[in-house]
Amino acid sequence: MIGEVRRLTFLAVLMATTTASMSLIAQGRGQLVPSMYITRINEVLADYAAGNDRAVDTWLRTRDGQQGVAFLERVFAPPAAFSRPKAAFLLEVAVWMQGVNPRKIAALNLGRRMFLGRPEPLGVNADDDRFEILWHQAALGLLQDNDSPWQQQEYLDGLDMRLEDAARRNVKLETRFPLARAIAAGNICCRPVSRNVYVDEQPSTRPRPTFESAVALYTRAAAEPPLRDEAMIRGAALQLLTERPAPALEWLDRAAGKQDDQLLHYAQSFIRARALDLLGRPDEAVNAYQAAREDAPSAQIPAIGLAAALLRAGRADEGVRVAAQARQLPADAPDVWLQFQKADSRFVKGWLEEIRRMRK
Amino acid sequence: MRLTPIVLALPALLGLAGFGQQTVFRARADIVAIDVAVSDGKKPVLTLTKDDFELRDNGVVQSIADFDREKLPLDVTLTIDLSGSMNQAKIATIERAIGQVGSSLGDRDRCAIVSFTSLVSEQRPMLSPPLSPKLAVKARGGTSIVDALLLSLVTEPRTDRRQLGLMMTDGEDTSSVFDLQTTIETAKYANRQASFVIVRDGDTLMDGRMLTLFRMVSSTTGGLVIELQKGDDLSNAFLAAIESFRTSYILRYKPTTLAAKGWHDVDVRVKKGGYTVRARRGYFGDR
Repeated sequence: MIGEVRRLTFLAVLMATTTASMSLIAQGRGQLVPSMYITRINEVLADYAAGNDRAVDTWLRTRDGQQGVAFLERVFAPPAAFSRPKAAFLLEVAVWMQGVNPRKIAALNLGRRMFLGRPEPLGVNADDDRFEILWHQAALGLLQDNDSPWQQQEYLDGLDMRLEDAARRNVKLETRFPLARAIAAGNICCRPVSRNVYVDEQPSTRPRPTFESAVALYTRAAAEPPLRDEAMIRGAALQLLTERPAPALEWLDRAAGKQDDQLLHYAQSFIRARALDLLGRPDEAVNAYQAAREDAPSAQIPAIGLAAALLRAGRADEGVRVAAQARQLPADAPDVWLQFQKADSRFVKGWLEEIRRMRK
Repeated sequence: MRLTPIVLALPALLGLAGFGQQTVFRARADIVAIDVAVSDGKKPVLTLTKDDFELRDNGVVQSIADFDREKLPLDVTLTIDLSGSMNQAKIATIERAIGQVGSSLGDRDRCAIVSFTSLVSEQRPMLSPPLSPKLAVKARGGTSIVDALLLSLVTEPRTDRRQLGLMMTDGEDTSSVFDLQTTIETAKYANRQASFVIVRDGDTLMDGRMLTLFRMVSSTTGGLVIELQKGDDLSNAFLAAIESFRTSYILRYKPTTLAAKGWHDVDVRVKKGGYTVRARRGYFGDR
């Protein structure tokens, strides 16, 4: 017993000494100690809330910003009250962080928790509701950009109670959440995972979605009129991914023929082309690849598909010409298919703009 | 080698006759040309005659109308993996190997260089030597092996040149959009032989699906898969693949099988010697 007390005392002294030493070392180097970081975060927040859209960017470009961002939780964790500037600030931080970054995930989780602590339920304040939905959609878009479908699922699970409460009160909300849930499930169940591509890990408590459950989620998303066509097209992509070209064509046929959204129209044509390819119908695949190329003339992928389909269709001369064009496309040409796969990440910038306008 | 039976018009036939072939071609005939590499262990067998071969088209023994070796110039396309896993040292090794390929080509031969990351880029069009081995390296995430391979299979049918596509990669595909089935199917139509040099880096395990793809495409087109372990010489692998192609025989015949349209299985054997024979597995008849 005495030995245990001595051991604990020793550890306590050691920790206190180490902490004190680290603070002194930090001060000696001219770095800020945590309380100063927190003060600085509050200053940047005040600047941002006053209308300076560049405040977060300017702060994060400094060494103090890079170190101080580790202390966001000290400012924004519960019981911090919900406010639009605070939530917008957290989204700015998350958007600023490139690629897969734990600070990005931390900022998104802090924001989500802040909304869950919103005093009003959904359906009471339309402006706040709009702000909240945009924020969550932007957060999901960032997670989709990261190839992290488990985190997307976890994020959506965290919203369930709030959304179910609104549904019980017959509050109608127009969101992209049903589609986001289907996208996450489809990526988890069926996308081949390369060792070189970041994919987050499966939580031990959560079962893995199946192809059937992902299809059911796409069907559910398609029941929402604003999401219908995109759900059908993305559902077709899932069918194709799992080597079911005939159902993929059926799903495509259930979407409107001409999409106003050029990316969706491109995807519709490209998925059709690949399904026809797999069904051994290269003549028809040629037409669909050509339609995809019209939507994305500088994209290499549909040109490759077209060249190969022309070869198989007995039109080798045309195929060779298209192949030559494909090889000479600029190396920095946008990868349109990747944009489609990254789902709502393409909307994040626009949603952030709207959130900035609404933050005051 | 070429993929589909080539419909030879009279001028082309006269051109072939100029190579001293024994067969009198008719003005309109479907002529199939098959590259056949024969080896005794690792050593190529270069002394065979036309009568030493037996060729079956859809199970029917064919009369070999024309036979030659090392007469037609080569078109070699090197398709090089320049993805993130290829560091500066590896790129320097690749450039040395390209230089060796350039030195090995004859005056009438040509070489093109294509590189890929998540996109495919032409580094050098199909030109005669000399060839600069320097590669333009642009960083871009991802490795699209299947997409690059699919694109490489689309070449023009030629009777006056032989075409070899030689792909070098570490076999780690991270970003391809196209599937294996489409690529394997396209290989049946390819007008070139597709061979692969796989560079394994230490303890990395290769994606089994990629290895299957390489083996299927190479066997369909009559090509090779050469797997290199750490420390193996890349230049030697390139030169071995090209030499194997250069020294292979070309057997030409007019199919006597009834159904000209659709897939034709081709089976080539050497009647004596217990040699290893490598040839494309068939072609699509288009008439």
